[in-house]
Parts: sequence; structure tokens; C-alpha cells
Amino acid sequence: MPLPMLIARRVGPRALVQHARAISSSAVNSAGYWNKDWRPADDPPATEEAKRAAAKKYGMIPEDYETYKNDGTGYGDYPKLPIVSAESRDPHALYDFPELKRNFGEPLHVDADMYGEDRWDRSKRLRIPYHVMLTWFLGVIGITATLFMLSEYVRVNPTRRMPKPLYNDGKKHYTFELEDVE
Amino acid sequence: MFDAEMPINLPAQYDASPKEQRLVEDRARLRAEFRKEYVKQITNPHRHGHGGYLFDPALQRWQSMRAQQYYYFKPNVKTGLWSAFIVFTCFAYGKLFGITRAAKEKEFRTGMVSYADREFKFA
Repeated sequence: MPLPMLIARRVGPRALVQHARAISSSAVNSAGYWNKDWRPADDPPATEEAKRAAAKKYGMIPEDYETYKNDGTGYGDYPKLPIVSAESRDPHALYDFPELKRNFGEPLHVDADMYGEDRWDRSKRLRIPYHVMLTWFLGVIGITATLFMLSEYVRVNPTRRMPKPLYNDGKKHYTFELEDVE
Repeated sequence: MFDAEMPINLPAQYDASPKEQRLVEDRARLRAEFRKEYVKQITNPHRHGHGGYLFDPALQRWQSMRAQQYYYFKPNVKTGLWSAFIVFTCFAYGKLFGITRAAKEKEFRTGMVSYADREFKFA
């Protein structure tokens, strides 16, 4: 994953293990971080205490914590965060990772790689709203395409082929006699 | 910037309800905790260990979630219909394309299109 390379800061291995033990609740093997330990739970929390524990796990306050619907398109108990693109975040605030406009321990949105500084800025207030843009686009492209496709079958100024100049209409077009010069 | 404790005394907010102020304070408290941990890691003078990078648990959780996204998919009516719709659209478009192409090919092969009416005459 390229993101860890972006935020590569070098710390001692002992500090790494101690920090992991302090923050995480599951047993962490200092030899590596396994997906099975860090993946979200299979289902969103049902009881209030489970919700509070899940919020604490993800580093959020319980009032901010909500999950996606558990209808097969969800992500377990991973939080549903408001969509704020990196470009739209406060440019004058001080961040722990200024290139990402992100702070240490802040939970990432599910589609965070889509809302980075080099990608889509979804939370921008556009001068022209999307539905107006779409209407204009479909109108121009639609009319152009319609005219193009109709012109296969209908000619507005049809050009006809000229007849071949075979000069067999009986008229005399050329003569080899010289003009009489008086 | 590398203060040990980040101040969480926020300016008084006269337009926010007490509940909202409490929420803001809670968030700031959490943020201060994480900030303290971050500063401790960054200013660690023994940090030139091998393979060491600042481990961010939030980032790790996000990465694990993305790596295991397949296991959170549950087949039911809604997802089944959605998947069927996508697959059906792909096959339907391909079939339609094939039918139109076959009709045109038949026309060409049986000599129904004259040389003067050939496609891409002006290419």
C-alpha cells in the first residue's frame, strides 16, 4: 500500500509495540499486523455498550458513531463518516500529516482513497450544480448525435453525381478546320 | 507545535447548545490524546529503528477493512437482484451488438449492398 510510504516516520521497534499495546485491545504480534485482528466485526453493534465499545475502538465519540446498513452492502461495524474530501478541509489548520490533511488516529472514510487531495473533491460547493451540468451536456451531445445519425439517411443539400462527359449528344464540340482568317 | 498537551480550552460558543459544546469538547479531548501519542512517537530520539514507521491504528483498520471487503458481502434478494441486473445488462448489450452485426454481415455477404452505398466511402 502506498499510503504507509507517504507517512513513513521512523520510530524504534519497542515504541511501536508499546504504542500498539496501549491503543489496541486485541493481541498484537510484533512480527506483523494481521488483517484478522484489525478487520471490522462481521455485524454492526446491536446493544448500547457494544456501540460505545466500537466507537472507542475506532477513536470516535459514541454520538458520532454510526454504521452502514447491514443489508449485504455494508462493512460490518466500520463507521459511516461524513464525506469531506481532503481538498475541502481547512487549509490553515495544523495537521499531523499535512500532505493528507489528516490527523493521527482519525478514522478514514470507507472511500478515503477516492477523496484524497489528488482525486475527487466531492464536498466542494460547485458554481454550477451537477444536474445543470448534466442537462447541458446531454443537450449538446444529444443534439449533435441526433443530427449526425439522422444525416445518414437524410441529406439536406444533396449533391448529385455529374454525368460523365462522353460528348455523344450529337453536338459538334470540336473541329479540326482552322477558322477562316480574313 | 510539539507541545506535550494540546490545549482544549475552546473559545466560548454562544450560538451552540450545551450538548453541542459538550460534543465539541469530547472530540477535542480525544484529539488531544491522539496528538500526545503522535508527538511522543515523533520526538522519540531512538526512532531510527529498522523498518520503523509510525503505526496508525486507524489506517490499519481501514486497510484491513478494504482487504476483507469480500467477506462483508451477504447474498440476499437486494444484492442478488442488483448483481443479476448488472450481469444481464452486460449480456444483453453483447447479444444486441451481435444481432445487429450479424444482420449487417448477412446483407454484405448476400450482395444486398451496392458498391456505391458501401460504408466509410469517404474514409
